[in-house]
Formats: sequence, structure tokens, C-alpha cells
Amino acid sequence: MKSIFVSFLVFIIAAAGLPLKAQESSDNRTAYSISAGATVPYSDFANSTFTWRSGFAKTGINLDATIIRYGRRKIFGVYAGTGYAHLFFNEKRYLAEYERIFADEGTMTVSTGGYHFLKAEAGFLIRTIAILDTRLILQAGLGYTLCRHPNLSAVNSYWGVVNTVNSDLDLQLSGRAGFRVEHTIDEYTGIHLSFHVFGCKPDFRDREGYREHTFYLPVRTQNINLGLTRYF
Amino acid sequence: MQHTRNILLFALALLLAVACDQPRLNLDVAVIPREVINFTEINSTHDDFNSAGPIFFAGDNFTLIFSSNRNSNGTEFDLVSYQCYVYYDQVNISFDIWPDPWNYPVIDSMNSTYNEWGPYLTFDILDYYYQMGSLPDTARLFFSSDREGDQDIYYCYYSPDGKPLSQQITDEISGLNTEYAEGYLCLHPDTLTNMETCYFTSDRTGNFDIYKATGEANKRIETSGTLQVTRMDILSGVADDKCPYIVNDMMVFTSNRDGGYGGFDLWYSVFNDGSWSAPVNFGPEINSQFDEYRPVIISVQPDMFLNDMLIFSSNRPGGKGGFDLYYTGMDKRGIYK
Repeated sequence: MKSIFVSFLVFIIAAAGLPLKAQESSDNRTAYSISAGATVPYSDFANSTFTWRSGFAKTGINLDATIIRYGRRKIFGVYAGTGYAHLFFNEKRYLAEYERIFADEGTMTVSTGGYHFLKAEAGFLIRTIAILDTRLILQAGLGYTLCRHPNLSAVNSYWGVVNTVNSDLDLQLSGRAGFRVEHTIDEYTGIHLSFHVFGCKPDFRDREGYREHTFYLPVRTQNINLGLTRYF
Repeated sequence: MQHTRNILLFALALLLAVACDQPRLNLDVAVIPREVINFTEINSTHDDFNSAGPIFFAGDNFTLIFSSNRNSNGTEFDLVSYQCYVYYDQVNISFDIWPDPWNYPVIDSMNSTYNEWGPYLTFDILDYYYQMGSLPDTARLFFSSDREGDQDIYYCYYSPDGKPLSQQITDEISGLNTEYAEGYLCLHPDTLTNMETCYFTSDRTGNFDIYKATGEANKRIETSGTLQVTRMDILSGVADDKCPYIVNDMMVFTSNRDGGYGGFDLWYSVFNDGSWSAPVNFGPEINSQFDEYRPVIISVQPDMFLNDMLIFSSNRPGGKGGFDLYYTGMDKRGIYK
């Protein structure tokens, strides 16, 4: 595994140093990029059993917009961007967990919402050699994300309201890393397919119940996007 | 040096703050499971029954007292006490009780070479044991014993450190004790009239029935003058009706009357508008074809738990031998007003 990683790194560095093919006739070092795609939760955030950090998150959508500025040789670049993601709450599994707990006691109903994330971030990119007008661009960045936890409610016909979590907002440091495969259509336009992993750890308040408390939710998602890049 | 220590303390506090991050809770308040659970860590191969706990429980632990013949290999019953630590999880929705043997001097000193049964605590000693604060002067331990021939009700006062107040172990409660068997006294205070009413069991009419005696206003039951003892006809039948235990306005007791599931069953009655309702059987979820005995309710703070705890004993199969103690979650609705 380590040798594969080292080989990949050597390839990237070597490729980054080679002359660039696409857009080499142009001096346009600034680009904007927009993309949209699927956001897939993973790890604890996707866990849908009653465990310590389970998020019950389901696949959602995301939108992303960035402005990129490359260096003179268009190998390294920096970017600033914003993005929005909405993930659905796995209401079916949430209900199933309560039904498991209150096996023979009343009928359970739950109501849930979705997670919302609004981020602003900045980072850097590394462009590699183009093959057949297609190149790999590595990307990593840090920023802040405004996270919104959904309203949650669980009601048992026998016991009454057994759980309430009101929606709450939290602004937290976030980060993402990944790559995009960009195909050049013409001198100014490219389309890309990107894959990023995103993470942040928002704190939310649960004001209901015996003890008001703050809990944190480790948010981990994988974003698979299709987008457009425009150089100017 | 001082500066370095402050920095270290601050770093430790920060670390603890980070380490103490809470999970999202899946229950606003905890739940005591409704299945009947054996007190495995407490029960012995001998008879363990006649438990008593605090009337009201609001902390993370409580005192549990019961009678057992474990210390004499089955020949005579003594009072045994435990501290019970309650563990509950509002994430995975689990509940457990970790008992720890705990010898309060007041419990030990009540034991004799005869039998001691049916303890009843008016205040949980544990609430005062560590604080050493002022204990209400109504803090008493009632129990029954056959140390003077027949089974009589005794009581004593105790201090905040769990020690008996000297020379106050007595069975002199006017009108309660007779030459027949009396036991299982419990109190039903009336905060409006400030009168204590007690309920107990006696076989003075041939079979065990539930009796009531009301004290004088502003006096404890044992310091009131002659008590008027009344048989509770609505709670007592031709069968044996024993072990009344009251929390708020709900009485639980055991009876082998008709309409049960075999042997002694657990029944309850609700006090409403000055009278007790007709007894209701707890049903097959709790009762079995074997004996269920001496139920007690541990009433839990309503904003802490969805339900209350019912502790009782049974000689049903699957235990450690003889009578074992069991607990289960019990519906709080109808108990709190």
C-alpha cells in the first residue's frame, strides 16, 4: 500500500513538471468552476443504529462553486469557493431502531428533517499532465461550514413523546480533499468529474430531556460531482 | 512553578472538556425495561424477599433492604442491605443496576437470633449518609420480628450516618401489635391533615388481611395515642392479603385470592377521593403460576425516567433458589398526579 502511494506521488510530481498541453496556448490562468452531484455519508455519520455517534444520514445532493487562480506555469493553483449540501435523514432506520427498543409497547412514529451544510473554503490545486485533453487535478482545502441539525421527534403511542431534538446551527472548521478529472473541450471550457471527501465536527445542543447537553456529530461525506470549468 | 501548574491544570480541564463530549440522546428520559429481571448479583441460593427501598428515588443510587436466611444457611431471616447503583443509557437505551453490599449499623443492629422481616424505610439512609446533614425526625425503620414469641412490628430511629438512635428499638405501637402476627407496616401520609396513616398485615381474624390505623394530627404513628385499627374490607378477602406498600396514591400488595395466576400474585389499588379502588391483578407479564411476594415501588423522578421500578420476590423457576428478588419497569401513569 505504501509503495503504491509513493509511486502515485512520484507520478504526480513528475507529471506536474511536464509541459502542459491543454490551454498552453492561452494565458488564462483564472477559472471558475461549478459542479453538482451526490453526497454520500460514511463512517459514523451514516451509521443507522443507536450507537454513540450515529448520524442516520442518507445520500443527498451538493452544489459547489469555486474560483481558481493558477500560477504562471499553471501547475499549482489556489482556489476559494462555497458549497451547499443537503443530506437526508434515514427516517426508516430511525423508526426501526425505536421499534426494536419499544418492541411490544405501543406504536412508534418519528418525524425527521435533513442535514444542511453551507461551507466557505480556500485551498490549493495541483494540475498534472493532460492525456487526450484530460488531466487529473488534486485539490485540498480548509474552511468553515455552517451545519444545521434537523428537528427530530419520536412519539410512542403508549409512553408519549420519548425524544425531541430541536434543530440547531453550528459553525465549525471543515476540510476536504480529493481530485477532479478535467476534460478540455476548448481553449476556455472544460468539464470535470470530481471526488472529494469532506469532514467537520459540529456541536449541537439538545435542549430537551433530563439534562440539556451539547453533542457533537462527526460529519463525514464523499462527494461525487459533475461540473463545468470556465477559464478566462 | 505556580504558573506551570496553572497551565497544566488548564490543559487538563481542556482535555476533560473535550473528552466529556456527549452523544446525541435517543431518549429524553431513561426507561426501565418492562421485562422481569432477576437481581442476579443480589440473590442467593436461599430465600431473599421482603425488600424495601426509598419511596422516591432521584439520584444515581439507592438503598435496598430485604430479608434473607442466607446468613444462617436457611434457619432464620435477617435484614440485609445493599447500595444499588443505577446505570442507564439514553443512547443505546439500556438499563442496569449494580448492587454493592453495604452494612448500615442500623440494619445490623436490628438483626437478632430470631426472624426479621418486612423492613420499611421512611427515608433512604443513602441520601444522608455522605452529607451527614440533618435527617428529618420522621426518619424511621419499621420491620417485624418474632423475637418476643409472636410476629410484631418494631421500629427505630436512625441518625444520618446510618446508626440507630439508642434505646429506641421497640414494639410499643399502641393498638397495632396483638398476640397474632403483625408485619409489613407502611405509611400513607396525608399532607393536608398532617396525619400519618399506616397499613399493615395481621392474621388476627384467622387469615392475613390488610389493616389501617390513623395517627393523631401532627404526630407520628408511633407517638399517637391509642390507634383505631380498621380492617380494609375492599383490600381484604377470604384469602390471604399481605405486604401492603404505598407510594403516592398507589398501593401494591400480594394475595392468593381468586382471579390470580396461581399461588400469591401481585395486585394494586389506587387511592382516589378518600377510598381505595378494588384490587387489580398486575397481569401475566409480572405474575406467574408460582408465588410473587412483597412488591415495592421505587418511584423515580418523572423528568428522569419514563416509568417507575417495581421490585418483588418470587420462587419461580430460573432463579438462584428459594425466593429471589426481581425488578421490572412499571407504568408511572396514574401514579403521579
